[in-house]
Amino acid sequence: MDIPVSYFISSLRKLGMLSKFIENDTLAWLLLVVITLVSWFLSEEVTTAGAVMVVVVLSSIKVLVIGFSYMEIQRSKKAFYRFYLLWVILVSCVVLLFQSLFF
Amino acid sequence: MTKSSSFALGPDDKGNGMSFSDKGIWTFVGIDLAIFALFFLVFLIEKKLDPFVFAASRQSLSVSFGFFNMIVLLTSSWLLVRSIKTDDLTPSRRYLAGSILAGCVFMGSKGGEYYGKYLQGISVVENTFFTFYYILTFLHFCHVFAGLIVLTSVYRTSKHHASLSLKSFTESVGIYWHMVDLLWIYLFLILYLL
Repeated sequence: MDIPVSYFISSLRKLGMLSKFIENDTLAWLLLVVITLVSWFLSEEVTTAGAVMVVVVLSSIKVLVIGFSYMEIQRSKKAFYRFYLLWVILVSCVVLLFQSLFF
Repeated sequence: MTKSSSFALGPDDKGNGMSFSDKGIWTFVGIDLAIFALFFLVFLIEKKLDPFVFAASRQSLSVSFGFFNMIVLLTSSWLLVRSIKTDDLTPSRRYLAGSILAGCVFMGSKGGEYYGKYLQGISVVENTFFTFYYILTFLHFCHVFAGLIVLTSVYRTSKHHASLSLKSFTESVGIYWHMVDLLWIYLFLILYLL
């Protein structure tokens, strides 16, 4: 298994509970809804740098959960798997970078 | 109750002669994600050039609408996964119908939002922010529409013809549908929240 994949999944297993959210699609949905509601609550505060970072990170976590739990990218071609992770990291970093320019 | 073969194909299963990792949909999804990433970048650059207009224009968007649409799309994705993973045909089709219905709710909600903008007199040429808003959300809307057409076709076909190849095709459509879902997460983030 690709090293980044095995490292990521073994890290999730160490977290125990969190891996259950990835492997079980219903639990994944619950996690996604909870994160959405937390973001909704925080959206009132999205004027501070800390709140912006939290909201961006939460959005990226949702994208990763969808990727691993629903799309099962871990079963896709390695090239797409790596592309997907890189895409999530790049998009979130670019968004944070541009937002930091406003503070 | 009619029991069909398992919908959840394993890594080496060959629905229409293609394994899960070999599906062409991965290439399509990758290209689509790359294109939208470029759109996001251009939007953020334009926002940096005219921050006050973007900040003021964003105030007229309904964050609550956006969050409601988010939960609707997440639910639609979940129902589609349930449909794919359910062995029995009847409950599988019910989940699929639910997924399609949720997608229609999203389209109705988005249509309502566009109508609200129309009543406010906000057009696509209002300013740079709204040009991006209309283009990006309408592109996403078209993706949702196309996905719903295909999902509806699968739903109708499965009534009379449930086969491994159809289920393999539905898996591919599911991958596309989840992409539409995750695109909305970032679209909502950069248009409505930040």
